[in-house]
Amino acid sequence: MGGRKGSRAGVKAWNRTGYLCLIPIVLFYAISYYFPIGFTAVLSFFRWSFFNNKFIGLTNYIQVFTDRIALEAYRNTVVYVLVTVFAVNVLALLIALAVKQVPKALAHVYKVIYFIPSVVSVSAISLIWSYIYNPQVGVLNYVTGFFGIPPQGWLVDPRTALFSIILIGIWQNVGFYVVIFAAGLTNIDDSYYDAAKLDGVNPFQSFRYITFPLLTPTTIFAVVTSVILSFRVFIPIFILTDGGPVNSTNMVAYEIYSQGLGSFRFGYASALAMTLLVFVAILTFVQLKVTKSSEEIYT
Amino acid sequence: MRMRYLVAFTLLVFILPFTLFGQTKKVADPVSIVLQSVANVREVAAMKGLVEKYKSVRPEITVDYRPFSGGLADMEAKILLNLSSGVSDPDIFVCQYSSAVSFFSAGWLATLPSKFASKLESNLAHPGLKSPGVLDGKWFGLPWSLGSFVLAYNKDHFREAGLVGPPKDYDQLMDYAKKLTKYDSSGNVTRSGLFIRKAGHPQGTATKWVQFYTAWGGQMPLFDKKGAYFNNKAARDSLQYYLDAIYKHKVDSFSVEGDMTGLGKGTTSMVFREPGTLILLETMYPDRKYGVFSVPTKVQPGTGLTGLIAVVNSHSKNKAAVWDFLEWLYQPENIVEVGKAVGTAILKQNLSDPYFQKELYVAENRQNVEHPESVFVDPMIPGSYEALMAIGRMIENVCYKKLTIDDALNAAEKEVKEIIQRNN
Repeated sequence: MGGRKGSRAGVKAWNRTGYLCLIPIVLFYAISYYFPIGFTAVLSFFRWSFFNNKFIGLTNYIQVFTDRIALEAYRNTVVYVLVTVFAVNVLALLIALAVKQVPKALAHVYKVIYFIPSVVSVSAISLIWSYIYNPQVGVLNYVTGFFGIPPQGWLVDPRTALFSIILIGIWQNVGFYVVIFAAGLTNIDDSYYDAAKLDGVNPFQSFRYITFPLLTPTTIFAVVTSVILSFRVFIPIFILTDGGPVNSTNMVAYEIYSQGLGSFRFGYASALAMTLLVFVAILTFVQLKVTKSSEEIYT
Repeated sequence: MRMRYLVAFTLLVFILPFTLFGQTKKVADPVSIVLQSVANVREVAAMKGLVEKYKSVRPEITVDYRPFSGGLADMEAKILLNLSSGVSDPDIFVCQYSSAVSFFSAGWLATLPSKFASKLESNLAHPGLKSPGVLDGKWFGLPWSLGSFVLAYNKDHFREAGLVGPPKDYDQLMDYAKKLTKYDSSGNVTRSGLFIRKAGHPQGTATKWVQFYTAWGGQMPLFDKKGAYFNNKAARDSLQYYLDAIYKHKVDSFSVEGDMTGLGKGTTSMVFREPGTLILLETMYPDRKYGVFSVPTKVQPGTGLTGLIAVVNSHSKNKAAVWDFLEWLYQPENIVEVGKAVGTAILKQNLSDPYFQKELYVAENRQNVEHPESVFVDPMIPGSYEALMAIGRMIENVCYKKLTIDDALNAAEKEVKEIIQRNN
């Protein structure tokens, strides 16, 4: 092998081996990811309910963009994603910064405590929150009662239902991103802070000019993954609200389920799924472009 | 040598064919059929017992009973994939009749053999039990867990409010509810006198409204293949009753836990539910004392029939065995075991069973048997589920005052017509 290194035939053989090794994983992805996506794209141009199948062109897409329920589902999803992603990342960063200040052994304990909700089943979490939100015997009304706030029907009032679902999302995900940010903070060399101290910078300046720029790759990862995860929110809606009251917690992922497996409108559900896929893909692309340019500025 | 050939020839020509064909005729090939349902613990126990009993009657037929551990919608979605790809498993399954009607329209469900159908029809506890399994005159669904709504009430709350006997009509029901409702110092409802289904899964909201709609004189079906007929005075008046209960008389509230759980926990005093569900109170809240009345009347008596039917996969490879099992199962002494587990007296003979002499079943069976004309079923056409979802959302919009009654009815009528057109 060594003798043939660099020769044209050797490179070719090496490439061939590489391609051969890639085949299983490419096949796996093709069968389990790309085929379903492709099939969903095809279905989206059909009225497909198993009983009554017909090619209808763009009708499903037109309906997605004109149907009140679908548009409300999109609006709710965007609100959910914006608030959850912002709150999760800001809170996680603040907690990670706080955890960095405590002794190492204690920091591990804190990280575990914050991380636990991320590993508990979302179904179990949703059930726990249904008790917390219970209008009559729930803990939340008990706590807010101390501040003179009258009991609320958190999940049955359209004004508070979406906020209640968002709160579950934040509570569940923040711990995971605490660990991510904490790992990112560990990678920042202490010498930067020591030098800054000598220059007399305050903690805010230290965060603004050292921590935040050097944490950019971690922040990009955290924001992109939390956006993608947030768009897929489904289980709390399925267990707690069925998308109600009056569609106030209906999200795109739940609407896809409801139209596909509830009403057997697989074509329309596929169109909804494809619009969500394109929307998330565009958003992720833009995010990566924007954050890449800011990364270039800082590094 | 010749003798040996003669013996061999005799064996070959006479004895061997006799042995082969004779045995085939006497003992049929073993057959296995699959039955699937989303079942509660009692239903699983009952079905396992029945399957064993059937095994002793027909040793050559094995019934593989597979209770589904997930939800009904999940099971139906999985079965839908099997049916659409021509898979024969499961041979028999229990599902919502609104889903079954679509499956039947697609040609995936078998119709009952005429002899079995006529025998069963004459024995049904009340004629309403047949309706959820019939489309265009063809009977494909056997009654399984089908209950009509009754008025369940908390006995302690009634005693406390000095109420005795059933409300005779919906006006008196509201008076009862006013006496039963409790408020805090700010005037918020802390115990609803009457729980009305106003939100939650829209199909369930619509199904429960049918009872009010028909009581106010509304005619069924709400819609059929030709159009939608629910945008009328009965719908407006019954929805106004909902609004009056929530906003005018404040006997119900979004913030108070209602329905079955509310009745069990004591946060609601009256609720309309089917006995098959109410029976769960006995295990969930064993200390709660509740009673049951037949539903009150307004313009006419009316109650909705809701629940599940058993259907046969048309792709089944062992239809003879399937029908043999079902004919055996629907004999009074067998089906009563299913009925007791799911809370439905399916055959006339079952009505006299001591189990169905309980107060809640007597109330239900009295209204169903004495007034079969007032037992209403959801419309039976492809797209029913989707249309009921639209009607349920309409009710929710009205109750939350997002839309006026007229606007909500007009919007729902338009949506239902589009759904019908798309599906038929």
